[in-house]
Amino acid sequence: MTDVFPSDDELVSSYLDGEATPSEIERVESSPQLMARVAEFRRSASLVATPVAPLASLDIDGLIESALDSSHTSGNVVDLAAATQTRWWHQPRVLAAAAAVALLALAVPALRIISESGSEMDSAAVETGLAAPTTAAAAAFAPLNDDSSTSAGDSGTNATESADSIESGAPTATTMEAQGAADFAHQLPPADLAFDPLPEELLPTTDLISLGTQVSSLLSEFHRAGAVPGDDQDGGRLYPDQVPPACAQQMAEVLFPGSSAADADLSLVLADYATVVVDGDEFIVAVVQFEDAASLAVAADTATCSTVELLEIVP
Amino acid sequence: MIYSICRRITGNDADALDATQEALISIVKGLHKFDGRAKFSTWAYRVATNACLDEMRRRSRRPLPGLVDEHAGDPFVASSQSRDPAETVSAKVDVDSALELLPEEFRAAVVLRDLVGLDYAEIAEVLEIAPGTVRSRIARGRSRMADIISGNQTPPSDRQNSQP
Repeated sequence: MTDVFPSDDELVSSYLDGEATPSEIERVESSPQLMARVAEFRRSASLVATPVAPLASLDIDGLIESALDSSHTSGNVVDLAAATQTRWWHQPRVLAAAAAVALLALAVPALRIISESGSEMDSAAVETGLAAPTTAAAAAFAPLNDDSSTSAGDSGTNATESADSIESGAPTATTMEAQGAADFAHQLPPADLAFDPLPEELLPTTDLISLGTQVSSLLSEFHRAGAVPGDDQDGGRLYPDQVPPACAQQMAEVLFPGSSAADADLSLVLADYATVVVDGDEFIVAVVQFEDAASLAVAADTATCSTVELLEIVP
Repeated sequence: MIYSICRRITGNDADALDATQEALISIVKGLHKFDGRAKFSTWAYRVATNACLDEMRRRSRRPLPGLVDEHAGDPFVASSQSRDPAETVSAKVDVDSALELLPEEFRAAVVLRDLVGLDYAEIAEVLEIAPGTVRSRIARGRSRMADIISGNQTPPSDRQNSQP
C-alpha cells in the first residue's frame, strides 16, 4: 500500500476521474508515490465497476408489473386541465383523437393483413379490411371516437405526420383525413379477433394510463390474431433483452427528452416494447405510461430505430 | 442500471431486488413530478439511490433470525455472517464485502462514479450535495477500498505522511 497524506487521496482520485486541474495533474504525474496511489485507486475503481449479474427476464417483468400495478391502484386522480398547462408533452386539443389516429396507423394495416390472409370476415368487412367490433373492443374505443369527432381537425397533425413517416404501411394523411373522425367508429377490429375483456377500471379513456395499457393490449391481441410476429403468447411484446440496444437508446432519447445513452436501460424498464407488422414491414413501438399521459413511439428501422416518430397521447 | 446500483449499494441480491422494486414504484408514481429540468436518468438515479439507502436502513432495524446471543451487537455478523468482514476481504477480494465496509454516503458516491460512470457534477445532482463534497467522498471511499484490498485496516488519519 502506498502511504500518502489523506488530502493527497483527493488529488489522486480527481486525477483518476479526469476532474483534476492542470496544475494538479502535473503534481500527480511528477510524484511516483502519487502515481502508485493512482494505480491502487484504479484497481479499486475497476473492482466496483465489475458488472452486476443481470436479472432474469422473469424478475424484470415482475418488478415492472408490480410497479405499474402500484400506479393503477394508487387512486391518484390527476387534474388533467391543470396538468395540461404545465407538462411538457401536453399539446392542447390533441386529446384522445391523437391516440385514435395512432391506433389506426397501426391497427388498420395490421387488420388488412388479417383480411388478406384469409380470416373469416364477411365481404363488406374484407372490402374495408375491417369488421364489426367486439363488445370489449367497442367499449375501449368508444370514448376515443367521441373525443376525436370533436377535435380531429386539430388533433390529426401530430399523428398524421407520424403516419407519413411509416412509409409503406400506415394509411396516408389524406386517407386518414378522408376517413374522418366519425368513421373511427367503424375502424375496429374484426369480429373474429377475440379480445380479452379489459378491466372495467381501464375503460374510461380519459385516463391515459389506461389508454397506454389499451395500446399495449391491442398490440398483444394483434399478435394473437397473427398480425405480428413472435413465438410467445404474450403478443408481439419485446422483452427488455430482446430490444436492440441501439433501439433502446433511440427510444429513450425520443420518449424522455434530455436523456442520454445511459438512459437506454431506463427506457427498457419504463416502456412497453412490441413489434408490429404493417404491410410486411416490421416496426418497433414503445409505449410509456405517465401519471396523466402516455407516449407512443414508432420506429421504422428495427435494428437501430434510427427513424423514430413520437406520438404524444394527451387527454 | 437501477438494479446494478442497488446491488452494489445494498451488497446482496435480496435487498437489491427489494430496493429496485421500491425505486421502480417511486419512479412510476413520481413521474408526474419529473419536470424535465434535470436529465431523466439523474432523477431516476436519485430515486434509486434513496430507495437503496432506505432499504439499508430498514435492514439495519430488522431482527436477525438465527443469530446466537454471543454475536448480539456485532454489526458485522448481520451482514456478512462473519465476525470480521475484513477477514473475508483479505481472503478474497470481494467487491460487496469491501463496499460493505464503507460508510453509506461514501459507498453511494463511489458506486455512482465507478459503476454508473457519472461525473462529479452529475453525482452532486443525484445526491443533492456540493461537487466538492462529492470529490471528498469518492476520494475517502476509494482510499478505504484501496486499504481494504491491500489488507491495511489502519484509518488513513492515523498514518504518517511520507510526503516532504
